[in-house]
Amino acid sequence: MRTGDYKQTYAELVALMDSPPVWLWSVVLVLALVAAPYALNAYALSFLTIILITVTGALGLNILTGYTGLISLGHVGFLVTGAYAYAVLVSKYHMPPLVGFLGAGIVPALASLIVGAPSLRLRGLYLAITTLAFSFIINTVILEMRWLTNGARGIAVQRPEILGISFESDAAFTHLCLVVAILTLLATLNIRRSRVGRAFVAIRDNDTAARVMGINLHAYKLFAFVTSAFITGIAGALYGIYLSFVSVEGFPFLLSIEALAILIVGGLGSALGAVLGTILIVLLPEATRLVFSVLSAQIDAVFTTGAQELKSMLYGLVIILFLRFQPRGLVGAWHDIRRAWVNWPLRY
Amino acid sequence: MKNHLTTASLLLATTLLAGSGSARAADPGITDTEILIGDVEPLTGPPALLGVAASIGHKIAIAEINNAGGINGRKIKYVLEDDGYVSARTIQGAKKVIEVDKVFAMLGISGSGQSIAVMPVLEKAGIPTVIDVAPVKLLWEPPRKNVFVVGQSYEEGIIHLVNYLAEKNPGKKWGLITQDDDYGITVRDGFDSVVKSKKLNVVYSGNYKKGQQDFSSDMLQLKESGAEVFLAGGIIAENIAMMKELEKLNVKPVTGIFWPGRIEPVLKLMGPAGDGIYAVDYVEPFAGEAGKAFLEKAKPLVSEAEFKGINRYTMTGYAAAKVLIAAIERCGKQPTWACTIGELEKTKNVETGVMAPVSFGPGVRFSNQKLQIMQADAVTMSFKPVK
Amino acid sequence: MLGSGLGGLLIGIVENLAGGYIGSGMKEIAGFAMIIVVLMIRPFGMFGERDIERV
Repeated sequence: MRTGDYKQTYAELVALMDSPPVWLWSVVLVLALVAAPYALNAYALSFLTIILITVTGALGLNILTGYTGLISLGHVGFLVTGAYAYAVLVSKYHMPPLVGFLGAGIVPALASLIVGAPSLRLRGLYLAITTLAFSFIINTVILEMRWLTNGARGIAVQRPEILGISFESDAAFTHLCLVVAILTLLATLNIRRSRVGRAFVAIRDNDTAARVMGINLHAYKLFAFVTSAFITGIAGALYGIYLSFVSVEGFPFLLSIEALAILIVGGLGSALGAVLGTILIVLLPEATRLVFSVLSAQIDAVFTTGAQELKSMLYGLVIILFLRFQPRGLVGAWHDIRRAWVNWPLRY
Repeated sequence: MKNHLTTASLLLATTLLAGSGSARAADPGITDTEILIGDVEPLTGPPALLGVAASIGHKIAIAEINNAGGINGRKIKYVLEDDGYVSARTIQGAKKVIEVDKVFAMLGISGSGQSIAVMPVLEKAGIPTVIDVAPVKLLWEPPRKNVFVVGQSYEEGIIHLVNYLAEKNPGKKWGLITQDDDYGITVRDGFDSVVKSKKLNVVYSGNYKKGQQDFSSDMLQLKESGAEVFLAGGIIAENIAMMKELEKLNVKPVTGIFWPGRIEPVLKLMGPAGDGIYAVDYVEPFAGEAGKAFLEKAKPLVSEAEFKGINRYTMTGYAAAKVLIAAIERCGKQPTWACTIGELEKTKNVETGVMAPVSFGPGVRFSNQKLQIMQADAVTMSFKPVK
Repeated sequence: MLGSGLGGLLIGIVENLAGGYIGSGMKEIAGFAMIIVVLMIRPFGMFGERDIERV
C-alpha cells in the first residue's frame, strides 16, 4: 500500500515532479486544455482564457509576495505598463508581436528597478504603501505622455500573428495564453527549486538571518522584483490583447487587490496555490450567479439593484469565510484531502 | 500528488461535456412564442445609476409591446447581465448572452470604454445591435454593418452648449474643467473648436483626475481667474463637489453641464447651488410635456423601486428599444438577422416620444439626434426646456 | 498620535499646494511622492522609532 511520498536524496527533494504518474497526469491535463477550446462554447472559453491570463499574472506576483515575502499592492502598475509597452510597440510602431511581448516584459522589469529600490530599505506595510503609490504614479505618467500613449484615448490592439501563425480566433488566442501560462509555471517552479528560489524563501522567512548566511539581500530582492514584473508585464500584454483595447481604465486598482486575494485564498508561496486561487476567484462570480438562479427561478423579475449588490457581497463573504476556516488556503485544503486519501483509514 | 491530477482532469472533462452546447441554428433567439433580447449593463457600483436606468428604459418598451400582444404574436424576453463597469466582464457578458442564451438582438451595452471593447465580439457575431447608453464616435466610425447607435456625440453636444452660452453672454471670461480621460478630452476638443471660431476669452482651463473628490484648489483657481462662464466637465459627484465649493467661495458663474451628469438626484444634492445651471441633452426633460407623458406611461409598467430609478438614461434606453422593436416588427412573421439589420437601416423618422424622431440610412449607423438646451430649477428639482 | 496628526496636515497642505501651483494633475501624485521621499529617508516614518531587531 502506498503511504506517502518519501524523499531520500537531495535530488528527489528538488525534482520538478514527484513521480512518473504525476508526469503522466500533467501531460493528460495539458492535452485536455489544448483540446478544450474546440469543445467549449465562447462564453466558457472566455473564462478559460481569463483564468490562463490571470494565472500568469498571479504567478508573477507569487514570486515577489509568495516566495520573497515582499508585499506589493501595485502590481496593476506592472500589468498596465506591460500592456502599454505591447500596444505602443505593436500598434503604434508596427513591430512584430514577439518584439512586443519582449518589450511587455522588459519595460515593467525596468520600472520595477525603480520601485524595487525602496524595498531594500522598507518592509511590510511601508513597502505596500510605496508600491501602491507607484501604481498611481504610473497611471498619471501614462496619461501625461500623450505623444507615446495617446493619453486617455487608449490604443486599440489587434490579435497577433506570430511566426506565421494567426491568433485571430478565440481558440488560437487561448492556446497562446496556455503556452505562456505553462512556460510561466515551469519558470516559477524552476526558480523555486534553484539556489535563487531558496534565497528568496530565506529572505521571506527572516531577512537578517538570510543576510548572515551570505545572501546578497539587495541583489536578490531586486531580482525578485524584476522577475515578478517581467512575468506580470507579459500577462498585462495578453490582457490588453484580450480586451482589444488598452487604456488606463481597463486596469483598475482593484486588480492589485484581486491578485493578492488570489494568492491568499490559494495559499501564499505555492505555485499550485496561485493556480487554484485563480480558478476560484475567477469562477466565484459565476458560481454565485448560478446559486442565485437556483435560489429564485424568478431572478429575471427581481433583477433590481438590490439583488445585484447582494451578489457582490456574497463574493466577499466567501473570501472571508475562506480566510477564517482555511487560512492555509486552497493548497492547504488540497494537502489535507490528499493525506486523507492516501492514508485512509489510518491517521497520519 | 497522483490523485490531484486525476481529480483535476475529471473536473475538466465534466466542464468540457457541460460546456459543449448544441449546434447553432441559423438565427438564434427566436421561437414560435418568444424573441430574446440581450443586454450587458453596470448594475453594481456607482455607474449602476446609469446602467440600471437604461435597463429600466428597455424594460418599459418591452413591457409595452408585450402588453400589446408582442411582436407579431411573439413575446419579448429580456436577458440582462451585470458587468460592474469592467471591460473584461462586458466582453464575457456579451459572449454569454450571444453564445449561451442565444439572443436575437442586443440593446444598450454599458459605458463608452466597455462598448468599444465589446465591438469585435458584436461584429464577429453579426447580431443586430442598437447602442444607446454611451454614444461615442468610435462606435459608428467606421460604420459596422450590424451596430446602430441612437444618440448624439459629446463633441456636438458641447459645441451646441458653448455656442448657446456664448451668444447669451457675449464678451465674458470663460473657465473650463475636464476629467483626465477619453470623455474629458472629447469635451475639451469640442470646447476648443468653439473657442477658436468665436474667439472666446478663456481664463481658466483645469484638468482633474478621475474620481477626485476635493475641488477646493481647482475652484479657488477658477475664482482667482475671474471666470464668469464656467463649464463643469465632471460627471456626477464631481459636478456636485464643484458647485458646492463655488457656493462656499461665494461666486456664482453662469454654469453649463453635459448630459452624462444631467440626472435629477444631482440637483437634489447640489441644493440651491444648482439653481439655474444650463444643460444640453437630446432627450426631453422630465418637467416638459413629453417627459411627463413618458412618466405617466412608465408608471404602471415598472415596479415602484424601478420607477424611482428612472432618469435620462431610461429615455435613451426606451428610444433604442422602440427603434429595435419597430424594425423586428416590420420583418413580419419570420424575422431574421439579415432582415432586422436591413429594416434598422431603413429606420426613418421613428417616433419615440422621448427625443426627436430617429433615422438611420444606408451606411449611416448613427442617428444624430437633435439637441436642446435646458435649465435647472432648484425649487422643483427638475430641468426645464429653455425656449 | 502627534505623528499621524501632523502627517495628515502635511499631506493635505502639500497636495493642495501642488494642485494649485504645479498643476492639477500633480495633486494626486504629490501625496504619493511625499510618502516615497519620507520613507526613503526615514523608513520608519517621520516620527517613528527605529526598532532594533534581534535574530
